Amino acid sequence: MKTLKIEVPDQLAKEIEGLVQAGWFANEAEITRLALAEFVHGHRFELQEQFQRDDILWALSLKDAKR
Amino acid sequence: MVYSELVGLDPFWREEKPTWVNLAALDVSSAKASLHWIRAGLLDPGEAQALALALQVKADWFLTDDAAARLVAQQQELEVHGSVGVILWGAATGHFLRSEAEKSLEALSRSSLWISSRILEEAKTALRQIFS
Repeated sequence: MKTLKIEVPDQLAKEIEGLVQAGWFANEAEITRLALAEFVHGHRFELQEQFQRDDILWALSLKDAKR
Repeated sequence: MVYSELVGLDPFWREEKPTWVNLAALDVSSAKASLHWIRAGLLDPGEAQALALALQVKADWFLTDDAAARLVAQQQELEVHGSVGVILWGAATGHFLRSEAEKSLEALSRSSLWISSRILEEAKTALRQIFS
């Protein structure tokens, strides 16, 4: 698994710490993983569209490269 | 997992598996990596195992239409493409005739893959450009 090192604003860090201390999450990493997973699920269609558009541009660049 | 999903969808994969399809098992560390993605709620088992295998065999490309799998694969520095990309790649590199590519795009739009009418139109425009 890849390890990400991220910086968050102090206020957000405090809130995260509070959630862990209150027992809602085992640790800060668990919150981050959940937040990322939520983001991916919540933006699935936008991401899908973006990726499909990336592929279209990729194929067009291959055609241009052949010229 | 991916193979069992395929066989579950269509027995063709058990009875007439194409010779170019190779089945491979995950080694221990790859299996562990896939388990992490599943447990973290990022990927479903099929996508997680396919991605772990792609990393294990150092695949040139990882092909998926799953947005989450593509995101994670790109973070792992794999080159990733989806069905739209494969069809247009085939057209751009001379593997598909125009009629074949157009037919494949149409079939894709009628499949279970989510593709917006906007993207479908962009893909058709790209095909016209490729064959112009």
